[in-house]
Amino acid sequence: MQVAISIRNVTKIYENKVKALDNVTFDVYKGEIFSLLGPNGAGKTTLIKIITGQLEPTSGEVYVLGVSGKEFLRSDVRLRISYVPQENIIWPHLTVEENLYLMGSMYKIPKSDLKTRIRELLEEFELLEARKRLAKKLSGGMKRKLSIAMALMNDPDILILDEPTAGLDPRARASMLASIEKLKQLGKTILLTTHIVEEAERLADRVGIINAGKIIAIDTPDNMKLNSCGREVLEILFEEISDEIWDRILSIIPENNIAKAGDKLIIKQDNLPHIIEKIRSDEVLYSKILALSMRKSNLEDAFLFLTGQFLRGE
Amino acid sequence: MAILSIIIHKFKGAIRSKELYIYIIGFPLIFMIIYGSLAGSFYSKVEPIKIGFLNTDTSVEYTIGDATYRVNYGERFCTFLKSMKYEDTNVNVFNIINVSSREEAENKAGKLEVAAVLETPRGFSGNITNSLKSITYLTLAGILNEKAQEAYESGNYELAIRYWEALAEVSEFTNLTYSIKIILIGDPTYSKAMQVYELSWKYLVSFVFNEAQSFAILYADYLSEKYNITVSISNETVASNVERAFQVEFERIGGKEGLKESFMRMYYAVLVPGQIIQSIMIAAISVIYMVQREIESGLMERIKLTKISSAEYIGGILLSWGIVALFQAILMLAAAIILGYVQVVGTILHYILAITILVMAGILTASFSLIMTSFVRGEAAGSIVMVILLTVSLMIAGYFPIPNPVIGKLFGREFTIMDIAPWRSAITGLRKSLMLANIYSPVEVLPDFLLLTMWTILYVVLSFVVFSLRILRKRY
Ligand SMILES: Nc1ncnc2c1ncn2[C@@H]1O[C@H](COP(=O)(O)OP(=O)(O)O)[C@@H](O)[C@H]1O
Ligand SMILES: [Mg+2]
Repeated sequence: MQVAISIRNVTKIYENKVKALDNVTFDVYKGEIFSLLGPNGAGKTTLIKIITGQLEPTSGEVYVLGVSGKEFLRSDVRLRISYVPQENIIWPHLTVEENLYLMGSMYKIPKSDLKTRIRELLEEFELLEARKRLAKKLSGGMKRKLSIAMALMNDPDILILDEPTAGLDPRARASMLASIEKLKQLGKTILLTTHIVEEAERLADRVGIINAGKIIAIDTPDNMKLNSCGREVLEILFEEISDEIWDRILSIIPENNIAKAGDKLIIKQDNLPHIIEKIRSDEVLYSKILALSMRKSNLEDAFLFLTGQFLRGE
Repeated sequence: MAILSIIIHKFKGAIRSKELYIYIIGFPLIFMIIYGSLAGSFYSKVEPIKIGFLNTDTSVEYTIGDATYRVNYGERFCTFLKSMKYEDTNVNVFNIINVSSREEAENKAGKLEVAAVLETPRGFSGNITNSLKSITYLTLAGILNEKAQEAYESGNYELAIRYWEALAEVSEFTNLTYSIKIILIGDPTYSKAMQVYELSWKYLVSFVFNEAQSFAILYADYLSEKYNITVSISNETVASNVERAFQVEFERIGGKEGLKESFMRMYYAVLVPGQIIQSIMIAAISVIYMVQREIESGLMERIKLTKISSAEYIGGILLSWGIVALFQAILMLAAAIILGYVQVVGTILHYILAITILVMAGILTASFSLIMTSFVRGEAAGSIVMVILLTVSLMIAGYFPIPNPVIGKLFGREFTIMDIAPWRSAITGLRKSLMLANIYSPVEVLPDFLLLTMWTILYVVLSFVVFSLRILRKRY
């Protein structure tokens, strides 16, 4: 597989001594959707800024299509990449169409091509009807789509999206995910960040879990789940987990197979029905349980087992 | 062309943002209200105004007791004017040359060799004398009457009678008629002529006050001695009686319109250009907010991934603000023309110059803003630049008389301290090319134009260097 973006031992320490990235190494392959999954403050945006030449790493090196970060902004490779930052980059007082036009002229796209390109993108992102509206008057979802459409003006090979669904309502979010999937079908390499598990699971060919500046695991969503918690997990909700309860649990399940999150336990084990049987047979333990379910594991569980933390605050 | 697209879109963006209209309309309106309410006399420069003086008056004689005085108040007024200084300075207000005839006066004023010629007409001295006597009567009658009453009530009848006799004597000054008139020969569309007109009023009143004071004191002394009484007068009593019939007649040469209109026009000739440039200066502060927003939103970083060069981007911003300035100036000028403050009197060349000046003023301010944004980040930038530009614009717009010493001369144009503020040349250039186009030829606008061009180029170059180094500079 060809490498689109290669990140080698990147560490970033900000001026205020915050270590936002700690020896990060991974590759993004051509044509895949790679999702960086991690909680707020994990270092996702920092990494993207380094890839797009906005920030200098404290140490390490980044290569985009084989060009090192030092040469990136001076080489034509920069024209084959686009990114949409967390905050929409739009000119608020220009219409949707004008925003696209201006971005297109910044890429010096010939006028005739510009018109057709704008038309395509307007259709693609369902902005055709809104094309004469001022960008500042658009809804959050439409602004986001406009941002992405603008980033696609130059028909980049690589698209980097920082939290593309942040702040969108469920409908807009679904439509955004559909758009991103379409982009993949066009053969684009997409690197996106998210702190939302469902998104990573649905979109990503591969997921990189990042926490506190470190890459914890990189794999396909299925493998990641399989390796960290198996295909299914057991989720048990207690009124309260007292020391006695905890002891009783440990007598049934090894501690390594338990992730504790407040009054909730996630349990991974090869033979879950057998575990359930054992729990049932312990009357005292069973009586303290509010809810018990066996379900398919998700990346949230994987994250929990890998980091011992919740991805999103509950 | 990419830069063209940037210019067009930035311009569109700018004129669609509501902030701009606050700057374009809100601020100038506030200033127009504030400064419009101030008298037009504030716009003078602190330097002697060259005027002619034509005295066609004849001397008069008057006697007080045994003494006979022979005076020519025309001459005295001339001497008085020569001694006038600008407040708090050692600078004479007028530089007076004597003019011997009406023809000479019209000739000199017509060629603008002098700002105007002041004429004290025949009968001036007689009228002044009558006014002095009148004022003296009004001043002394009250005092003498009061003193007589006082003496009478305290039983000193003999003293009371002497006061009454003095009162009877001063009463010969009652019912004197007078009309004090001076004639101003000049072109009312010439700002300095209008300034002389205003100053003439002011100085004529203080001249009469001065003379009245001396006359009243002289007369009071005479009465005191003659009737063996004490009469003392204060300045205030004289002052309260001075405000009587005064008249400054403006005898205009050239032009057609009436005095009042031309005065208003003159007034706005000075104020409108200052105000247009001021509002352009203030509106261009939006550049800061716009650029700050673009920096914060990451657009500046984003642009680095495109094909656009920093020169093209900065150039686009600056030129678009030149166009915004033009747009703004057209709005303001249209308002001024509709209100009748501006009359279209110049040649095409005048207007081309004026338009170029306006565009340059916009570019100049935008460059200044870009330079400032490069150094001050965040919210503070806007406020800091606002304070700087507001202060500078207030100083140079010509609302107040601020000492403005000459520091040099180039192409026949005098350079003053204020020319250090780059916008000053835009104001003076605009004043000449737009408002005073009937007086100044386009060639005479050139020194201001060149100075502005020089400043603009300097600032643009600086903004390119500073902004691309500090903001658009590549991070690697
Ligand atoms: N410009 C900066 N200066 C100092 N610290 C920063 C800066 N930007 C981000 N950080 C810190 O670096 C860490 C990672 O931030 P970020 O990359 O934005 O995380 P994420 O995008 O995953 O939420 C956080 O602790 C954040 O506070
Ligand atoms: Mg982030």
